[in-house]
This record gives sequence, structure tokens and C-alpha cells, in this order.
Amino acid sequence: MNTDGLTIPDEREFPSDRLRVRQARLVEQISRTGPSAGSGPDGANRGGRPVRTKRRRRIAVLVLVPAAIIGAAVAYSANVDRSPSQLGDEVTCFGGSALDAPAAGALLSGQDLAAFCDGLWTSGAITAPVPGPAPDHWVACESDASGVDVFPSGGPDLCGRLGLSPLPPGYFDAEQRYAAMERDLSSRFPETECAAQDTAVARARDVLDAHGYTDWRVGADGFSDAAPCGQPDLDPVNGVVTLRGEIRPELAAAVDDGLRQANFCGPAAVLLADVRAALDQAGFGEWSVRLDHELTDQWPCVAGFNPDPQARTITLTGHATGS
Amino acid sequence: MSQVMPDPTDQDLLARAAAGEPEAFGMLFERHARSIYNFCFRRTADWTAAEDLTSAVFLAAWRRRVEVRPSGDSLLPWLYGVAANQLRNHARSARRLRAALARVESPGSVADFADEVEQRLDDEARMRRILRFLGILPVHELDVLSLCSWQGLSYEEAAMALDVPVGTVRSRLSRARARLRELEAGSGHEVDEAPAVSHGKAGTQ
Repeated sequence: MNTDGLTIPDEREFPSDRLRVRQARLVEQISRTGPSAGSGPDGANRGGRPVRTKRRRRIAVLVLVPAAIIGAAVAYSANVDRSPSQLGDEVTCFGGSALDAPAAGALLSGQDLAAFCDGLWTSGAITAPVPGPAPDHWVACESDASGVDVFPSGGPDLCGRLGLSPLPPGYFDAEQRYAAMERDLSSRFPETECAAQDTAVARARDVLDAHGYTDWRVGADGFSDAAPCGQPDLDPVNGVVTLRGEIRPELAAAVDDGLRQANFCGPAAVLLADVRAALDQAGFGEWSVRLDHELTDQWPCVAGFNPDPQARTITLTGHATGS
Repeated sequence: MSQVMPDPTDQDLLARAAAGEPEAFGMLFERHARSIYNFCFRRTADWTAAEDLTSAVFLAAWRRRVEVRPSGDSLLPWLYGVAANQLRNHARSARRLRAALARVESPGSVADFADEVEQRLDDEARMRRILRFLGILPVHELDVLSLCSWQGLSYEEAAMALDVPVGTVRSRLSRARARLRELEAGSGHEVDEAPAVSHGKAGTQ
């Protein structure tokens, strides 16, 4: 192809095997977040995230949203799809008062929500170059997918004009209650300990009941010899805690040690060798380790890893710059 | 007698997905992933990043489905617009990409056959040179150039994708071509001598 005096490479097919995998995962993702989200533990499945991002997150931090951020939200009317405690932990900060404005999204992990969006704004993550000071007021709406969408203030009823629901009344009280439950649950499942399936299920039930979440269901998924340790996965939309069978903490620690040894970055052979050595030293010689993509000058590092207990394989994954 | 049913249109698929049939959105992905994949590659010079970005584009498209602006029966121009928006933040927002990827995990990205690996590396090297060369263009002109000249969109489709008037597309394309003619005349197509610009420049404002 030759256009405008520049010869660009011809188009290539999307590799068919990976197309299928990505297609399946996209469908799975929108099944969880869309209007047809499942109601059982399977529908609540959040598996597949890299381990470092899957560790428990503090959904509770949503209670720290300053009053200014809910300016339009307090003018709440009808049109609420979810109860206050059904909002998840995904937050998307928009650069304008429209859904097609530039946006930056992340899982909230302890920050004040307004400060979180301010930070994305001033860093240029939303719009680069930074167009000016961060907005004085943000407006938080219930996302049409999951979590919370946050916009610079755009006049009255911004959420409604965007086809979104404002944050529901009672949101902050519900989040405080939810936060207390989530903190308690987290404390009962320290990542350095291994809770067997029955123990984990009973423990989660106790916590839910103690905090008044008696209508929530508890399920278990993915336990095996190679994944014997239960960790809770909360699905506030469907009111489900799923205990997911995960690898032993000693194995995760060994992989982390290997990754840190290599600073999470290539050359690939060195990165793989460092993780391999850490696995062997920790007594997990039967596990293999692989990279799921080629490290490049642009993305010389990985972000974390995914264990596949069935295949006893550690897959280093995620594109990271290392900076 | 059997009947041959026509393929559902993009809008049909989107409506079915919104009505609770997520597999229909998967069909949209299958239908248009190749186009978005190649568009993202041509703006990043990185096949692996293009794969990840393609997933992120469709996830963003799902989130913004209420904003959809179809062009006839096809959603592809609108998807290009979503992709252009994603690319605009790509280089400056590793956090955003990582967040998106956390939601649509990378599935064993590169297990290519050896002979294709070399071809893809050649593609990347060539595309990097081109993007350096095009680094003189403002991103809004590069958006128009890449959509009209590389992806073959009409002016009207590009205008719809970028949410600007058709006249703006024409003027941006005209200015982009003028700049490139000047540069080509001055450089003799020695693109390697073009100002060094990070690949992200092509994708940032």
C-alpha cells in the first residue's frame, strides 16, 4: 500500500487463536457488567485478572468522596438501577461532560475519589497535554456498565442527560457498611495464609452474617490440589461472595521474588530464569513459567503473572514500561 | 425449503447485546476486530500493543454504546472514532491501559510462528519510521490521514468517526498532505532523518 508518499505495511489478520480468546473474554466481561449480568457465582466470576491486580481492593474508599463530588448526585430522582451497595470498585474519570470525552479508568485502591480524578487529570492521563487546572467540582454517576463514572461538573442533571443514574441516596451510608464488612472479610483471609475450601466458605458466611448481609450467597469455585487456598471475591451487584481456589501463598511469593529479582523487566531470558530459580528454590519445581508476549523496547517489562493451576504454569503477563 | 438468513447488521447485533445477548457483541468483535487491530497497529507500530488496544477499544465501545452513531448499517466508523480516542490517551496513560487490560486480560499474546514473527518485526520497524516521519503532524491531522488514507474511510465516515464536520476533515487532510509534501521535498523521503519523536507522539494530543 502506498499512500501520501509513504508505504505502510499491509494489513494482517488478527491471529485467529487469540481472536477467539479475546472474543470470549470480552463476552464474559460484558456479561458481568451489562444489563444481563448473571446472578450466580459463575456470573460473578472475576477470575483472570493478573494476580497483582486481583488482590483484594478497598471498595470502602468510595466513602471518602468529598461532598462536592456528588453535587448533582444529591439532586437524585428516579431511574435507579442498583442499590447503593451494588456499585463496584471501577472508577472512570472523564475529561469532559460526555461519555465520549477522553477518559481514564482504574480500579480504586484507597484514594479519595476526587483526588483520584484530580491526579489523573493533572498527570495527563485523561487528556494530554493537560488542558488546565483540574475541575473544581466533579459529578459522580452510576456507570451504565459497572462502578462509577466521574465527570467535570456540567450543569444540572448531568447524569440524566448522559443516560446515567446519579449515585443513589444512601450511597455513603451503604458504602460505610459495605466497607466495614469488606475490611473484616479481608482481615479474615490474610494473603499469607491458606484457608481450605470448607474453612473459607464458613468463614465468609460468618463475616457476612455478622454484618447483616444475611441475604448474600456464598459460593466456591476453582479449588484443586494446585489451587487449595480460598480467597474471597466480592460481587456487590449480585450479592455474592465467591471463594476462589488460588495457589498457595508460598508459590505466589516465590514468583514475586523472581520478578523482583529481575525488576519485572527483560531481557526475557533473564526474567524467565530468575522466576524459574525462585520457583525451584521454594520447592515448586513442577511448575513451569512462560511469557505470554514478546518484550519490546516500548514495553520491556511485565505487570504481573497469572497462575494456571491445572497446567501448573505461571504466565508472566501485562505490558509495562518499568517507569 | 431452507432459507438463507441475511447476516445481522451491526446495529442488530448491538441491540441484541444491549438486550441481554452478550454473544452478539462478540460477533461484532469478530466482524471488526481485524480493522481496528490494523488501525491500532498503524498508530503504535506495535502488533502486541495493537492486540491489547483492540480489546480495550471494544470494551470502551460497550461502555459508550448509548452514544453510538451508526454510519448506515455499519458501526465500523464509530469504532474507529472510539479507537482514535483510545489511542489519544495510549502513550500518556499506561495506567489506563493497565486498568483496561486488567478487565480484559491479555491471552497469551505472542505465540506466532517463527516466519511470521520476522515479518511482523519488519512491519513494526517500517511503521516506526513512518510514525517518526509523521510526527510533524498534529494528532488531529494524523487522525484524519490515518482514517482516510490508510483505512479507506470516506470523508463523511471520517467526520462521523471523529465527530467533526466534513469540511473539517477535508481541511485537515489537505493541511496534512501539504505538510508532508513539504517534508518529502525537503527530506528526499529519508524518513530515518525525520525528527525523533516517541511513538506516543502519534497518539497524543
